Amino acid sequence: MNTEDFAIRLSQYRTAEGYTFDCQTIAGEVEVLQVEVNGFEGFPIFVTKTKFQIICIIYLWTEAEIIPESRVEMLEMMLDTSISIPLSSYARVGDRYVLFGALSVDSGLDKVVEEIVTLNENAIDVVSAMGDFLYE
Amino acid sequence: MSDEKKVSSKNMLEKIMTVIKVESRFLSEAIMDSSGTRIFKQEIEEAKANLKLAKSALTSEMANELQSSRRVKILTQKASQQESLIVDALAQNNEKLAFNLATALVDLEQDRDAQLVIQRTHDLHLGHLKRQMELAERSLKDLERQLAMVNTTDRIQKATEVITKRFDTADAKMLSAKKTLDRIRKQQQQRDEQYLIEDNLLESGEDKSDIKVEKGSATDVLKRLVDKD
Repeated sequence: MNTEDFAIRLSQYRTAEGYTFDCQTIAGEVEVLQVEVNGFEGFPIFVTKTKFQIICIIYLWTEAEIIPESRVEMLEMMLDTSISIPLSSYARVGDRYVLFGALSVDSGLDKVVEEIVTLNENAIDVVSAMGDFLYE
Repeated sequence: MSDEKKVSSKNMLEKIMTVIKVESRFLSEAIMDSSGTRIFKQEIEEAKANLKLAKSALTSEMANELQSSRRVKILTQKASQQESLIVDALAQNNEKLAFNLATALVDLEQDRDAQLVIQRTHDLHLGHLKRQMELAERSLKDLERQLAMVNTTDRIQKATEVITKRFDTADAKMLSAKKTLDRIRKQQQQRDEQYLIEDNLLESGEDKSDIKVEKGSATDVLKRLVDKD
C-alpha cells in the first residue's frame, strides 16, 4: 500500500472507541504522513515506511529542553521504564527525543491504528511523567 | 586498509555505533557511503545468486528423485507379477518355464536393487541441497536485516529533517511536547468544565427553558382570536 492509499483508508477508519484520523502527507525527500487523532487531544504522529517496517513517531523534546542536572536521571528513568510502555519505545534522532512504535510492513490497517492510538496515549503519560526533568 | 577491514568485520549495529562515537549522530550518509555497506550489498547479491542456484539444483534433484522412485515402483510391481507367474508355472508342473521365469526375476530384482541405491543417493543429495538452501535463505535474511538498520537510520533522519523543516517554518511549538501537553490539559479542563456546567443545569432543572412548553389558558386563546379580528 502506498502512502496516499494508506492515508485515504486511515481517513475513513473509525475505531470502536469512536476515534477517527486526520491525515496529511508531508512532501520532502522521504514520504511522511502526519496523523492526528480526532476526539483525543494529543500529539501529531508521523508515519513513515521502510522496506521492512512501518514506523510511527511522536517527537517529545529536544536536548535544549532538558534541565542539565536532571539529564542523567531522566535517561536512566527512560531506560528503566521503556519496557513497561505498551508497544512503544524511546529513541533519539539527532537532538530530538522520540517515542516510536515499529510494525512489520505487512501489518494490516487495524494494527497500525492500534499502534497510533496507543502511541498517542503513551506520549501523554510519558510527557506528564518526565515533565520534571524539562524546563517549563 | 586495515581499518577498513576491521570495520567490515563488524555487524551493522556496531558500525552504526562506531560512526556515532567517531563522527556525529548524523551518520547515515557516512555509513551508506562506507565500503562496508558496499560490501554488504555485494554480499546480498551473492547470497541471492547462491539461493537461485540452490533452488534450481533442488528442483532438478527433486525431478531425479521422483523418476528413480517411479522406476523402483515399476520394477517392484514387475517382480511381484513375475513371482506369481512362477507360482503358476510350478502349479502346472512346468519346471522349465518356472526356471526361465526365475532367471528373468533375478535380473529384475538386480535392476530394482540398483535403482533403490540410486534413489537413496538422490534422497541424500536432496536433503543436503535443502539444508544448503535454508542456509542461503538464512544468510540472505541476516544481511538484509543488517542493511535495513542503515536504511532505517537514514530514513528516520531524513524524515525528521522533513518534519522539523515544516514545523520550523509553520508552528515551532507543535513539536514541543510540554507545550502540547499544556494545550491538551487546557482543552481537557475546558471540556470537563463544560460537562460540569451541563450536568449542573440538568440537575437544577434550569435547562428546561430550551424545551419548555407553555400551556396557555382559554382566556388567552379567546383574547388572541379577538385581537386578530
